[in-house]
Amino acid sequence: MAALFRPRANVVFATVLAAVAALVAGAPTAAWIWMRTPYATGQHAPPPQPVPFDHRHHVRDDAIDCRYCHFAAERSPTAGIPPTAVCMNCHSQIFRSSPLLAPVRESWFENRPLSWERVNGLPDHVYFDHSAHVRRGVGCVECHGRVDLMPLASQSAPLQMGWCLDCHRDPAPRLRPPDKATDMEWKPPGDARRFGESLAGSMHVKPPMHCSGCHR
Amino acid sequence: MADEKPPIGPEREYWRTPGERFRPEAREPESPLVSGPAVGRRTFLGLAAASAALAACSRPPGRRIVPWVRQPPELVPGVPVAYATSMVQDGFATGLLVTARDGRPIRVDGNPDHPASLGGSSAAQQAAVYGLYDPDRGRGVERRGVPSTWEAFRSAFHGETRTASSASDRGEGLHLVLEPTGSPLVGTLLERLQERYPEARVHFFSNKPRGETDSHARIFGVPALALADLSKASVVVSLDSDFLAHGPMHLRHARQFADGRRLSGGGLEMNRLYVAEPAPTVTGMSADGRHVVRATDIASVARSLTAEIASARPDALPAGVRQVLARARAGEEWIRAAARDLLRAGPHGFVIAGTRQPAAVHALVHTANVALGCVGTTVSHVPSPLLEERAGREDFGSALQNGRVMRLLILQGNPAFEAGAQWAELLRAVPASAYLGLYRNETAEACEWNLPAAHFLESWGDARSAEGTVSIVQPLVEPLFAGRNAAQLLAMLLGERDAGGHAMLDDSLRNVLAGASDPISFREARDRAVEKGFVEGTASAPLAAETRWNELVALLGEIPRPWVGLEAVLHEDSKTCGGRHANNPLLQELPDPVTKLTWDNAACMSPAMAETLKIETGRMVEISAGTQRIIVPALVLPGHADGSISMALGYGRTSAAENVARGVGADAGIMRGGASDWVVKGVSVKALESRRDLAVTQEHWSLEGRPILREMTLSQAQGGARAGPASRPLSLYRPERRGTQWAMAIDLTACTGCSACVVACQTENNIPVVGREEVLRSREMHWLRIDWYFSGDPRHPRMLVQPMLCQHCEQAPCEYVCPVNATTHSPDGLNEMTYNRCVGTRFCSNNCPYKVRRFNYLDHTSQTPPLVQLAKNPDVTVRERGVMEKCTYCVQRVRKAEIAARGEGRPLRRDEVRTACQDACPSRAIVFGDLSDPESEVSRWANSPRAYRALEDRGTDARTRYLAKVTNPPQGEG
Repeated sequence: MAALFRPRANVVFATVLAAVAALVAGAPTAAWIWMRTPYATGQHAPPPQPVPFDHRHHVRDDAIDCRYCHFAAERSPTAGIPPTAVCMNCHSQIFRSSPLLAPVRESWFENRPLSWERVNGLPDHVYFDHSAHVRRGVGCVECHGRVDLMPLASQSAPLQMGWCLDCHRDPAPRLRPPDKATDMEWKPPGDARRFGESLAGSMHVKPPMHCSGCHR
Repeated sequence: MADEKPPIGPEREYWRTPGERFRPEAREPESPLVSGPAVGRRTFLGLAAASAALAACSRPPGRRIVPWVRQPPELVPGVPVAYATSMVQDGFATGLLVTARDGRPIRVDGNPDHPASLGGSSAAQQAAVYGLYDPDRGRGVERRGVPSTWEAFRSAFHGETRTASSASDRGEGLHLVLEPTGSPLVGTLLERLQERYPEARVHFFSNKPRGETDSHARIFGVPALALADLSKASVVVSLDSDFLAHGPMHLRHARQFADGRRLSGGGLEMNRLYVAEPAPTVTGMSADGRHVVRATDIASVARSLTAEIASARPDALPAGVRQVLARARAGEEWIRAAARDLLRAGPHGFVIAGTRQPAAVHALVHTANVALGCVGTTVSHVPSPLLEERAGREDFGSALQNGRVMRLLILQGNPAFEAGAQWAELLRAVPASAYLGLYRNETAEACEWNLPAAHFLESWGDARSAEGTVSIVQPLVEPLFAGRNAAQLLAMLLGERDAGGHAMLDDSLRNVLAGASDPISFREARDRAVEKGFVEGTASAPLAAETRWNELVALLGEIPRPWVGLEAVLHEDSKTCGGRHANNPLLQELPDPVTKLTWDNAACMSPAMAETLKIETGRMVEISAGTQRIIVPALVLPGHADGSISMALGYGRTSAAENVARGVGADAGIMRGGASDWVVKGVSVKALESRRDLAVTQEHWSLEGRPILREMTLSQAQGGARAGPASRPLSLYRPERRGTQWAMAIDLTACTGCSACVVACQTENNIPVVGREEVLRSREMHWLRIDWYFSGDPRHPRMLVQPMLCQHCEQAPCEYVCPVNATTHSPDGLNEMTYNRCVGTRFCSNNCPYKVRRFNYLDHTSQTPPLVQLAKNPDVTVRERGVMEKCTYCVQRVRKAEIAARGEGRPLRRDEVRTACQDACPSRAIVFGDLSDPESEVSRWANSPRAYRALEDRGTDARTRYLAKVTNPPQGEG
């Protein structure tokens, strides 16, 4: 009786087996990797905005502090997006006829708010509080990156839970005196960890590691 | 030694329904199988595959941020701001604090400084924001269903009145119908209206019984209200009065009554409450001695009681009164015990009669209070703050019938429903009519013009509370649907320029505030009043008028004779308040504090009567009164009087625009003779064959008879009895807990079961409403429920309530069984629920001995209209389908307080964090705080000998403590 399977069947069988194993292991791995790509997290891609607001110019050239516009960062869970009135504080005097600023003037004179695209968004079940971080020595740059170098604002950090927890588990190297929170170029004097640990001790920084710290 | 006494255990047998009492195996299964269209295996697999494929395709949509154009300086985005305002019901104001987030009101709580609230609030007040954001509200002006404008209405209606004001016509045929109101602003406008149109008639429509005001009007010569000061009362006798849950001062009553029962601060004195009533009420459940008696027999009870008191205090009453009372027959033991206790208490006794009782009963009660000498201590009389009707009371009805009403303006209320169907027909016959109201209700459907009214959170105004305090109604938002309030409409009718509600209020406050002549001091005083929510020092002075004894004797001559037959007793339930809030789904789904019925009303009757009729809960019965009949489901209620059927008013609404209210229950009002005739004599009842399943939550979430409720008598408490064991059960494993440890304690002695906390929890935590069908399947989502237990004889059962919510067990059974760690324990002792991790196995719910976990069987949120979304609390995640949820101890409030304290570099203040249920509770039965701080309120309660943990023997080590209910039964009972 002839063999039921030719010798080639062994090769086919082994190949199929390997392919299935590769798929089983590879598909989740691929998904795991893909979810961490900047494409999936939306990093480094400035969304289209009604006005091409240039943070680089306003922060570096004009030396405007973050809190001039994001006025609620120290007082509220949300940092606050400037009302049109804040834009008009200067732009009623300078660049009064710039076509780029037409939407701002329209908003001002027609009393219709500007509608910005959110750059740094968290899911709805996450409760992030700006005031809790800014007042306890987490600088803007830790999460938002070098906004002072961004011609158009984009998301800098992955803003995923693992990334949050990296810092919540070990906040010390990322702490600074709260009055330096908005300084984009601040450097710790000496060793970042030792400096941060002394700050954490004096400010009683104990980031929550349990679920309801951020999920309510 | 107190510690060596055995704990007060479950000596009594508690039961929840008559069926459970007699046939424990007859209890309905907890989750009846879902009936509905069957989905085949292939269809199911197809749908599952399609939804999985579609879910994979979706990417989160881009989200917008819309800042202000001009930022109001007092607002910080994301930071809540609270404003004082007032909610008016039946003409009386209750002060509230309403919290707004980013300009939208999301929470209502009582104003702690307001005399009618003292910080507590009712279920209807808690749900008020859902009334504001109700998509069924009338939008824009309409004339016969065609959209129109305020300007068109003004020119049409005002044009007509302008011709009327010409020399020959002085407003003939113009009639205004208002709700009862005490607003000084509306009062001055009505005065101006009467000057300008002397022939115009102003009426106040109310279907409330008038027994109390009628009797006081005769006894004192002015319509007066009896104000109770229960803080001074040691013995209270209620004759058919639900003073803890109804009436303009019920929040104050509940607080004062509970304060007299707390046994806190080492004191072991306690007030005692006697209640005689036909059907169980919130007050009756709190009674130490409850007497089940028909509403029509209350008069003879009142007479015997007053006679007992009068015979012991002959000097206190004139001879004429004594003569009338001498003929009263001796009362039963309950009456004699109540009279004995009242006489012992003397000026600290207090007798109160229910609103639906006739004037003669109120006169008897006044006589008893005078004889006790408690007028001036526990009860005082003040002139009613409501505006008086100038025309005769029946004038409007007869004017309507005689066709004398040519032009009609109805300002709020719903007379076409509340007065009976014949009114709707008469209203339709009026040549020109307009209705100002929140909804296109039955009255609106009968009127030519429909005008959108402004919600009380949308307009400026004023009102007076029952004790006279002028309260400010402050808006939190601009009118959503171009609505105006009654005062603005009256100003428009007068042809005055609409100066805006604020300016009108200023004019009115000038008459009330001291120092109003100086603009600067006026502005200061006004701002202070607006900030506080009321004008201080405006409470009415107690009436100086003496009792007119001859009038009182005449009133006593009207005491109804004893009467045998079947009666129907009507009441407004504390949820929809007679149909006013019938379109509020939160209130429709709230289990009634007494019947636990949702989305319905029913004919409540005693078990004995049901047995005679051979019916059970859910069977339809036909009730006939005169020519009217009504077909409703029966609800068998232990502790109900035989020969009496009780039903809630405000159901059976028919208006097409009110999608929630329409078709819920049956209109019990058609049985009435007159609108305010709430006790109907001579009804007959017939059992029918058909059934209607009632969505009663009483049998849901049964604890299978486990001993969860503990009670003791005052004498046991005085003897040092303990409710729980003095020490914790032994355990090899006890995790170390450091730092703040959150805990709650609930005093079952103070809790009345009013259910305000249930709605407070629902609004705070974005808990969905599921509807009648789902409630029938035991799928209501309330995180906090009020369990209701009976013990003893079903005819005269003792009734006990117990709020039940997540106990935040330190050894939580739910946490061990979650396969995905969605429910975990926080270091500060909270049992956390992380919705995003939950995959919906429901293991946790099955393993919870308290049955407090709720599962989203269906998607209750994604279809929420954008308007209703405005009412959601932005601090709490809105849950989706397939997710388990439960009480979190308001973790969002805990974390917010912690963040604020750390930001300010200080520790949390003692008792700084308050939960939503705690804020709402009128009787202060709930405290929350840090168990590791021995001085915190919750620690002090937890260390009380009355404290116990529910199901202690299960070893769950629950964080929530209950303080055993202490009753103060009359001697000889117990």
